[in-house]
Amino acid sequence: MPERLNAAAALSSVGQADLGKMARAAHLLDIGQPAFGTGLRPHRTHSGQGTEFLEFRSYRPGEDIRRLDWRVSVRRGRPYVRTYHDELSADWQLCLDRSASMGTPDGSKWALAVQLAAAFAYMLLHVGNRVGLVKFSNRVDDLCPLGRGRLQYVRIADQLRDSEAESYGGGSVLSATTTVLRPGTHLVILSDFLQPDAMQADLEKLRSPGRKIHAVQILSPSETEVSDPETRSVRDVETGEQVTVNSDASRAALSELRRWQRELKTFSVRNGIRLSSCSATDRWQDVMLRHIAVVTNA
Amino acid sequence: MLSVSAPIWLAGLAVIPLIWWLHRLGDTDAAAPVSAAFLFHSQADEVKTSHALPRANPLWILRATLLSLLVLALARLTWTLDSERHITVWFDDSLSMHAHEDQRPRTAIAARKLSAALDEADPAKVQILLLSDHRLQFDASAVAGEPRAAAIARWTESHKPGSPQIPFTLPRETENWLVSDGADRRVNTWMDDAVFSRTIAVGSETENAAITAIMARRSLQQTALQHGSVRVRNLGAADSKRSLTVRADGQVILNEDLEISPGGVIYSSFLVPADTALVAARLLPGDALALDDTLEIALDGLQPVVVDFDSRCGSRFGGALNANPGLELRAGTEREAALTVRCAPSPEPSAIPSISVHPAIDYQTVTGPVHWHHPAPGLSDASLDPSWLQINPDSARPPSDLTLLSSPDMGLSLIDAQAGAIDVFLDFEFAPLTERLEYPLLVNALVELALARPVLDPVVRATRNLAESRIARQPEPGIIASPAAVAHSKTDMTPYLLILATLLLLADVLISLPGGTLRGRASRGAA
Repeated sequence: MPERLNAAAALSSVGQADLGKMARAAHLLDIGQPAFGTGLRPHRTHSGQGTEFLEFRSYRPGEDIRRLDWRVSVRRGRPYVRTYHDELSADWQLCLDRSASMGTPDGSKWALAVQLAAAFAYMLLHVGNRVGLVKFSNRVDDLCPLGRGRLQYVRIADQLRDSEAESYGGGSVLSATTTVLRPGTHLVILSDFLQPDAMQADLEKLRSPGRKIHAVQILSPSETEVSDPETRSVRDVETGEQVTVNSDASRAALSELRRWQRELKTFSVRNGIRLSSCSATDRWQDVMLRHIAVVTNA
Repeated sequence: MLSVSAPIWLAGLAVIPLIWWLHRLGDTDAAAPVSAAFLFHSQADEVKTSHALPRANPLWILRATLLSLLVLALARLTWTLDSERHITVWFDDSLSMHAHEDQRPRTAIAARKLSAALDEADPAKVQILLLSDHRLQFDASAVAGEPRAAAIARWTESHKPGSPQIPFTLPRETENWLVSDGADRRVNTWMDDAVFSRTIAVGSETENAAITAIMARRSLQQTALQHGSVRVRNLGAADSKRSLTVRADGQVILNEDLEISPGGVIYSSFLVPADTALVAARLLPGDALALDDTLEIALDGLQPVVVDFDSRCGSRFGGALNANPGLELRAGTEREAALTVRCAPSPEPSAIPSISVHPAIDYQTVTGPVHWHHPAPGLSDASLDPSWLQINPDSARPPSDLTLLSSPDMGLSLIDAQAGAIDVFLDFEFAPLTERLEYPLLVNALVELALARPVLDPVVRATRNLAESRIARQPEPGIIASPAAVAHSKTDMTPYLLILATLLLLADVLISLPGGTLRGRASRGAA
């Protein structure tokens, strides 16, 4: 029986050298421009503020009222906010799905999720953002508050190192994270999205003006396979739902999965969500590059 | 009825719910786990929406049964047949049990007490055995109450008293009861050793004197009289004053008042005519045990033995026989005789004990030493010198197992003995032999050997075992005060439970074998 991958082992393969190389392409992820000073490290001039003015625009409900430009608003008789070309420093929350579906028997799915979370955290912190970590299932299981700098990366890595997916039940309720998300916080969602509606309802709740959402869907090659030909029923590891199947179950499930993925992709494109998909057996570096490609082609 | 010897082990049954719960967790192979069951909905035959744990693997029932069997085996499950209560009663029928108390024998009193106890116990079967002879059995199951007491009393009194025969073991499948007056030491010892469910004791009387022996022999002074003696013993705890009467053929010859101390013995002598046939002794007045107050003896054994003597045997041989006061020689009276003495070949074997002397014309002188083979009264003392002897070489036979006297040098038997028949090949009229003092001794020894009893000084006697006449209870062993537990018919179920558990374990292994067809069925059953 092959050894099950755990989070600690997965994190050990996320080396500083690879992260350093990946960080050079961080600006391509649409997560902010690094301001380089004399050295290679990004330079932050003001916390949470952009540096290059873009325009005034009407205030939208839900936006931070601190961005209101009172002078323009009084002059024009409506609330106006100032917008910038980009924000040098923003708040990003990594949302890591730890429901039972993320815990495949070989542990590869969760291992890749942990590696990606670490890589995103490094890249986001590298450009000066504040980054936090939320592990969720049908509730918020664990929370690492927003923070900045190398020490924050260590905190997040420590939390990832000791984590594992649920063994049974749990569920994937992304909207449970709304209780800990601040307005204007951008999201990186790492999940398999294996819900009948592909978490579309929850994504709708999380969408708000100005919020960037990056999503990486991780699927295991065995997700739709029924290996034992004697098996006549399957049981959902999250919901406990038991389905009696016929002999063509695997083929039909694969077809259903493709249709379901197409719906999720269409939804993401329509709502400005940067979604990429990968297999649990992929290398994290390849997944990151593929996601960068998705973002730059969007 | 089922019962357990170690009920604490039954606490192990509390593990059964844990087995059920563990089999719910271990049901992962019944349904394949998937991350998204909704993907299979399009091809589903049946969908069960449940957030609860799956149904337990049906094998839990088999394993729970297996555990239950082991727990019951540890608790030593026992099957007890209470309804089939069988009782074996060992009834002491020794002489002391025939002592009378309140005008009734102890056997009748014991029968009444036994019947009352049986009515209380209400067994399914009762078997009464006499201690003197275990083959004598009485089934007392058919009747109850007073009729049962009467039937037991009649049955016990219909048999003569006997000496108790203590069995080596008691039957384990029945309860064992003992009915006894406790007067016999062996029964008392048995009570101490054996496990009785109940002991019924009877008898309170302790005083008894008994005629324990009566003996007679010929008077050495007066040949016309017989001399006799009666032994009387007091087996009670107090002095006994009794009158002893001895009758000879109905005529009182002795009437004597006796005063005997506890445990004391008195001998009373008497003389009766030589032709007396029967002497009876009796103690008066009667005590609790009347059976040992009288004793009789027949004096036939003291009368001279009639010998059918062949006159051809010679005067010296006849004279030696005639000199014996216990013998009476008659010629041609074989029908009345107790011994035949022949000195000529006879075509027919004698029906009574006989001594056959084989005469010859030419006797052969014995040259070597002679040796007695058979230890007969007086024979080993008769030292015979070879020079006194000569034999008939024609009829002398090689020594055999029945040889009495032989000469190793000659390889011949001088005297042979068979059952009641003695063959003599010696010359019994040879002067060197007949003139010896050993000759009448040799002749008398041969006669007593042929008759298998003494004839020179016979003694007749009738005796009674001293212990049998004791009617007082022996010191009670502890077993009487604390009867043993009732021995029901019990069956230990442990072997059967273990066999069944082994079979279930085997079935479990067969079902659980990888790739086994039974496993597939079990899995589908769970689904």
